[in-house]
Amino acid sequence: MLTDTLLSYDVADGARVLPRWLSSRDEVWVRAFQEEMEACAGMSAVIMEERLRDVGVVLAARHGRGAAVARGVWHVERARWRSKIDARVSPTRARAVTFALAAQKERQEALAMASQQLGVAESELSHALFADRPDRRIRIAPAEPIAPAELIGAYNLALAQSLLVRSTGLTIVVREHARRVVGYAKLRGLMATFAEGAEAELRARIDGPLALFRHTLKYGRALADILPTLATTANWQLRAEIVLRDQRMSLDLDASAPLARSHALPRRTDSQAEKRLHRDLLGVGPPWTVRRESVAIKVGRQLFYPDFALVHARGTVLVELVGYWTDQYLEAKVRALAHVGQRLIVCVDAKNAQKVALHGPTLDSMLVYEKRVPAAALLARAERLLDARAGEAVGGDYA
Amino acid sequence: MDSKLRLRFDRGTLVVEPPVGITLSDALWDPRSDSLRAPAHRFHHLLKEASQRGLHVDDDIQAGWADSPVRQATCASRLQLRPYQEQALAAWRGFERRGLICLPTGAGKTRVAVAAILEAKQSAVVLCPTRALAAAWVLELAQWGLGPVGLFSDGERRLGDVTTVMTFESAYRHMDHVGHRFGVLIVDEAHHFGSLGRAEALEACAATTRMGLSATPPPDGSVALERLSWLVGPLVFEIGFADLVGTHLAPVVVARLIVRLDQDERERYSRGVDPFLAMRRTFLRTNPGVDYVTIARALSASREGRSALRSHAAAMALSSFPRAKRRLVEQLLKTHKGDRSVVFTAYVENAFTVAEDNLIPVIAAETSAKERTQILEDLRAGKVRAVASARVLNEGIDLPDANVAIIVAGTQGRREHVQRVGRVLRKAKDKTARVYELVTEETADARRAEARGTIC
Repeated sequence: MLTDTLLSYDVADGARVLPRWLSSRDEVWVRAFQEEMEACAGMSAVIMEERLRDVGVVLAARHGRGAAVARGVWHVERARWRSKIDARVSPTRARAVTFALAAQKERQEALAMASQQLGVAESELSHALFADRPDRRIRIAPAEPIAPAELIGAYNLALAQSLLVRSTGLTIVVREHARRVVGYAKLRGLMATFAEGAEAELRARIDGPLALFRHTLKYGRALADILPTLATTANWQLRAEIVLRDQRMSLDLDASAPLARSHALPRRTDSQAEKRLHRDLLGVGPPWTVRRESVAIKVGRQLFYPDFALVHARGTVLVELVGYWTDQYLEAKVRALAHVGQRLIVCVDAKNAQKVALHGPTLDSMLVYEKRVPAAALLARAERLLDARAGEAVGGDYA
Repeated sequence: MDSKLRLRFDRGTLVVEPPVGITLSDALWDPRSDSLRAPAHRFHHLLKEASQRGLHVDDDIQAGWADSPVRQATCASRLQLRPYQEQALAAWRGFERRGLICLPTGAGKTRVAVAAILEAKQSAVVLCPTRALAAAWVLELAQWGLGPVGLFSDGERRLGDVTTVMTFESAYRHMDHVGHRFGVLIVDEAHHFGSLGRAEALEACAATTRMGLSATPPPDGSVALERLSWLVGPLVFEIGFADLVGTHLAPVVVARLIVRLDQDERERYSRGVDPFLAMRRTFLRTNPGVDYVTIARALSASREGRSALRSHAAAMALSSFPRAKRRLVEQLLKTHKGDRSVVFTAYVENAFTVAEDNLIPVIAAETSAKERTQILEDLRAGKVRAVASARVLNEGIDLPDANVAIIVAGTQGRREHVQRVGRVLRKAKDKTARVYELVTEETADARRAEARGTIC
């Protein structure tokens, strides 16, 4: 992430943040800058930083870019570099021996005795004492250099994410793989509220539980982490409320932003219980088939994403694992889905279940489990739901 | 009719289900989950409100708080409190076991906190600002039988059965996952939360018993004190250095040593500050009364302004650690070779310079937990005679045998100064603490020293 001083952006209309993206036109100076970086390999971090700071600023300035951009590019590239301690003797050992002797002797005498004890020259000992400080370590270039275009994409992504780290909430528009994007947000402890947008798109508001009470930047990192996932989908859009220098502003991003697309869509955003159940259900044969990627179900302006669809010749039963709920939440969910003619089994964790007052449709559609959802009991319940005629109640199991 | 108030912990908040027709002052409707929601730190108030209205509370929080009464009783019998510590604890009890206790450094705040944990007989979490301090708390709690102590710091994320220690940063990141596990919240150096930064660490915790500890509380009537009152409780007890020095704290001799910039340094200093001062004067003419932050922000918008700010910062650094101070530190450390000294600098680079000049260890943020512990042990055992630090040793770290503080410079005002002096005031037999404050005359360093004043 880029620090405040490395952020490069314009502000329009007093409150709209416009990131200053790098583009293919910047490849010339970025390539020259990369060559300078490579020439610094083997130098100590402090010397390299000093040299690159000036060189980068000059190179960027020739192409109309500010100092913050040059430093930002180096900041992004630096993450790929390693460092090593350059000393004849372990700095920790050198300090322990030298400082203990210095407590008893004069400086020169202590250094002489310590160097003799450690088997190194005095100058080598002096050099070693704090050679493990981050800025005194030797920088080692990455084995594989990257193309300027790739570094530019990585910089742009870092810039966008660094702005989003300062966000209090996002509104996203997703046109494909919505379940995975939203699932990833939930996995990061965020809350997503759905609203139906135009045809074939999902509009979701994403923030954290404490955001109900005040603007908080606590979820900024989790919100920023959604971007690479979102950016793998087609025609995505995002609006964030961000706080920059104590000013509330907005940031709009969409699929046209020149971001690196190095991230794959997350395959696994499942909880442990979901993973286990998926494994168990995979072994189930005819007459059932299991669909992992079930479609979203629209109910009014809300969207539901069941975790599994159990498909049978006589119909489909949806399954959802719920980690946390209230009576009202479960009742509203079951009622809403029943209203649009969907059969749903909600699997709830026993550790949270004993204090919930179950009744009516909630009880009929609930399967309580301990640690692992019993696949056999789930399928038996699904059979009974398919058998049951409208209006008939099905008794609740306690697995 | 169901008269139950149901409260469930959900990621740093409480999902609230009141009986039909009952509204609660702390809960807001959350359309995201179709439920009422309150911040977790309002648990105490929701319980009170339920009690006043005769509602039975059904929650998933309090059952996990109970601790072993046998272990508690054993530890409690060993704990001896000084009279003022007893008074502090009694005052805190009087405010429903919620409040801020202000004792000078070295007066035994930790012991008051341990007594509070033992008395509450519930699982507790201790929050502190630095990793070094977290390590010190782990040792202290274990010593009183409150272990194994959990730790959220230095890359660890481990809950303890009875007590857990978290740095402020870890608490900010993780409290929303574990905030229901603690009945007692102790906030060391609680004044940090007066600015509202990272307050989510306290808001996401459901603990009903809360104690804030500080040597430097925010001023009476300040917004910061009001914030602390909301998050931890009101200021319930305060006692100062002057009340304890010579009795429960070591007597202290404070000397302010004035140094001068060398000629070339004086010229560099002037070149550094003059452009900034000129720009500031111009800015103040059109914006009278604005603070430094506003001026700096305005100046940073132009190339000349940024250059002036950089030169000014370099001049400040120069006035904090000119050659004369460097020589004086060397001389003082030689004079006190038989003592245990702590050298406080304004900048971490200066601490390393002192260390290389005098061959003494440094405790900085980059020092590993293992080496930090070793250095403190060596200092106690007399294997090393002094340690240098910029800010890490400012707060909380116990240096019981240290008797000399050399304050090279400080940038954080009176609060930092009080904390630093306190490091050497812990009472020991025949101990007289010595504090040297090094000041560069006719520079910003002198003005800062004037502003922070004297301690005793």
